Amino acid sequence: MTGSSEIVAVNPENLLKEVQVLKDGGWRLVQMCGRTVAQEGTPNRVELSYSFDNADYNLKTLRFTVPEGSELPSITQIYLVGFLYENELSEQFNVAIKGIAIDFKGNLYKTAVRHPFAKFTVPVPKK
Amino acid sequence: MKKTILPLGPQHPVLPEPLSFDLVLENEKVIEAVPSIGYIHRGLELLAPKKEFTDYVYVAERICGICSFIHGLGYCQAVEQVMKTEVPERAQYLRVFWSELSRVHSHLLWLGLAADAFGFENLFMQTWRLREHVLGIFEKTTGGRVIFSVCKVGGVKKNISDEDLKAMVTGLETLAAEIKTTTDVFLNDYSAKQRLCGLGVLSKEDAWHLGAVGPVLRASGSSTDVRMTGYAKYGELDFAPVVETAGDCYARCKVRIREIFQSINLMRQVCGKIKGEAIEAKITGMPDGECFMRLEQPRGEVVYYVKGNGTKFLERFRVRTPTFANIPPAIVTLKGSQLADVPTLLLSIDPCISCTER
Repeated sequence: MTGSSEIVAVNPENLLKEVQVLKDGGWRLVQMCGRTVAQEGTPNRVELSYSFDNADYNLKTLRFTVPEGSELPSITQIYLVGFLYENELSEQFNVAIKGIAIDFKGNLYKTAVRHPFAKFTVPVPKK
Repeated sequence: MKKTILPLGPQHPVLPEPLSFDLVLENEKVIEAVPSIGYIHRGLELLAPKKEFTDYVYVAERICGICSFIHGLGYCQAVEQVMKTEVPERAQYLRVFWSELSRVHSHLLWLGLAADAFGFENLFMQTWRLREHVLGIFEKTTGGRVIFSVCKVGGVKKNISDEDLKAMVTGLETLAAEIKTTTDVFLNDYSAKQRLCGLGVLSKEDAWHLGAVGPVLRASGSSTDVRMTGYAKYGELDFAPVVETAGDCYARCKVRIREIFQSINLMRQVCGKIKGEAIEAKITGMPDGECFMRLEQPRGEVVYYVKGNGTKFLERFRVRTPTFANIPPAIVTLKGSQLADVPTLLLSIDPCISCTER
C-alpha cells in the first residue's frame, strides 16, 4: 500500500503552532477524534487525535492527552472545517474547546447523557 | 436589506433523509447557511465497547444502507491490520467486487435523486430501474439487497464462483450500454445542463482546504482517490482517479457518471485476476493496538479508527464519514446561491445522513 500513517505526540500548549505548520505545508484536516483513557486509581484523561493528510496519501496524526475538564483552543481559525469535529468532541467528551468558529454550544447532538463518551468507558485491563 | 431565516429540513421533498439547514436569506439570495445535524444521531460508536469485536461488523454495516458493505469492509480491515491478519487473495478480490458494485448502486441512486431534485422525474425512474439490476446481483451473491453481512474479520462469508462472476460482469456490460443512454441525458440535455452548469463552483484550493472528499473533491480538479493507496486488491488493478476541473454541480455529476463505467471496468478486471480457493483466514487472539484505516466510499474518503486493548471488546471505534467532511464545502457553495438552486446544490454533495448520524 502507498501512503504512510504516523502518530506524532505533541504538547497541547504547542497545538496551534503545530497545526499552523501543517496548514502552511499544504496538509488538509482529515478527522479529529477523542478517546477517554480510564485507568483504575487515576482520574480519567482524554486522548485527542487530529489527523491531516497530503496529496501523497500520507496521514499524520497529532496526538495529545489532557485531564478531563480541560480547556483547549479551537483550531477553526486555521482550519475552518474543524468546527463540526470540535463541537462533536466537546459534546461527547469532557473537554471544553474555546473559540470555535461556529459554536453549537452543546446542541450539535441531542444526547440524553452529557458527555456520553466520558460516562461509558472501558477500563484498561491489567497486563 | 431585511433578512429572513428559512429552515430547510429536516423534512423536505428534496431530502431523502433528515438534514436541517437554517438559511439566512436576503430576498431569494442565500447569504448564510447553518447546518444542524443530530436529528437522528444513533450513537453507534458507543456500541463498540459493548459488542464483541467479531460481532460489531453487523453494527458497522448498519451505519449506512447504501454503502453498508464498505462500512463493514473498513471496520474489518482496521481490525485485521491491528491483529496482523493476512486475508486470502480471493476474499480481497471479492471485497473489491462488492465495493465497486456498491459504487455503481450508490451513483445510480444519486443520479435518480438528482434528476428528481432538478425536476426530471422520468430520468429518476429510468436510473432507479437500472439500479434494480445491481440490487439483483447483490441479492443473488449475498442474499440481501441493503444489508449484506458477507464481510467478516478475516475474509468474507460467501464465495462467488468464477463462472458466476463472468456471467455477472457480462450482464453488467450489457447494462452499461443502457446506463450510457440514460447518463447521456444528464450530460447533454439542455434543461439538465441549465440546472447544473456553473452552479456551486468550488475551486481546487477551496475544495482541498475545506476538506472535501470523493467526487466533490475530484470534480474540482484534485486527483485524490484513496483506492490509489492499493488497499484490498486495488493495487493490482489498472485505473486512475476520475477528475474533472470545472468544480460545479455538472462536474460532480460527470465524475459520478464516469465512475460508474470505471467500476464496471474494475469488476471486469477482478473477474480476470481472481484466484485462490480460501475466502477467510482463521482469527486467533484479541485485537491489541490501534489503527487508522481509510477507504474510498462512493461519496468519498471514509476514516475508521479502531483501538483494541487485548480483550474481546474494542476500547474505541470511530468513523468519520464522507458526508461529515462534505458539509463545510456545502455551506460555502450555498452562500450566495439562489434559493431555487439550494436543493440541487445540496444534492450535489450526495449527502448521506444515515452515515453522518452514525
